[in-house]
Amino acid sequence: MNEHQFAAKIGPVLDAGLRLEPAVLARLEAARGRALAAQCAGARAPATSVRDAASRRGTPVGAWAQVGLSIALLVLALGGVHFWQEARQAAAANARITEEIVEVDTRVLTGDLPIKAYLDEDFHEWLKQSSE
Amino acid sequence: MAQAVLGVALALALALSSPAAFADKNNPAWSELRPSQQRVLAPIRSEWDALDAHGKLKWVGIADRYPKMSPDAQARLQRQMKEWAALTPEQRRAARDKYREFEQLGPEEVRLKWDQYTQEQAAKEAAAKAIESEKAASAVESATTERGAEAPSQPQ
Repeated sequence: MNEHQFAAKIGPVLDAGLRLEPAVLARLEAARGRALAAQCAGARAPATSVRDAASRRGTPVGAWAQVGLSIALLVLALGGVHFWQEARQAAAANARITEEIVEVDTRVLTGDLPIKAYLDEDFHEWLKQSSE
Repeated sequence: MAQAVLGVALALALALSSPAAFADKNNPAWSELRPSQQRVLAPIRSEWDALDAHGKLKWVGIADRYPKMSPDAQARLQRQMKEWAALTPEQRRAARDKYREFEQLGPEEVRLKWDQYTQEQAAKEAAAKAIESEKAASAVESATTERGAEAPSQPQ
């Protein structure tokens, strides 16, 4: 029997429709009603635990653990990045301060005045008085 | 999952290792300096190991500027390095503050004032020495005179 012969045979049966006895139809309808009621009751009941919720939605508990671990690792990674950035910024600030000090020290060491002129308090006093 | 764990571990390793890397780079031993830096910093070679990381970085910065300095500035730097390194951190800080103050007054004017001050001090010291010498001479003279006056009365 090829495809066309099968179609020619089944076509009239489908056109005629399904004729079931009323008792069979009543049993089928009752079974459908029970199935729908059970489904509605399951959707409305509150989740009492993660395990309960996970199992109700068909999600295994291991998947929740993976999500939790991923979040923990993400937080840890963000903390690490933050620490790294702080360290970089502190290093940059130190480099700026060092650069300023190097600039001043170079001028002091290569200037015309001897170092003792910067430390001689008698000279500082004398300079103040002579400037007044 | 395994990839995520590996990624996080890598990020943490990077984060934790970076500051350590900075610390090593910022605290060079004498042998880690370039030959050109060692030549410039030779006057403070014996003090190098006792310097803290910040002090070493500062001297490295000065050594790196050395080639761009005039010959006079290079000579002054070489002459004053040891004296500068021997100061305490507080003294160096005070000297930097005073340098900034002198910048406001005018470096040339301060230099002239320093010359004037040192000349005055030298004149005062010379005058004080002259007075001391004079006092010492008169003391010797009076002692000699006294001995001369007392000599005849002394028993033979």
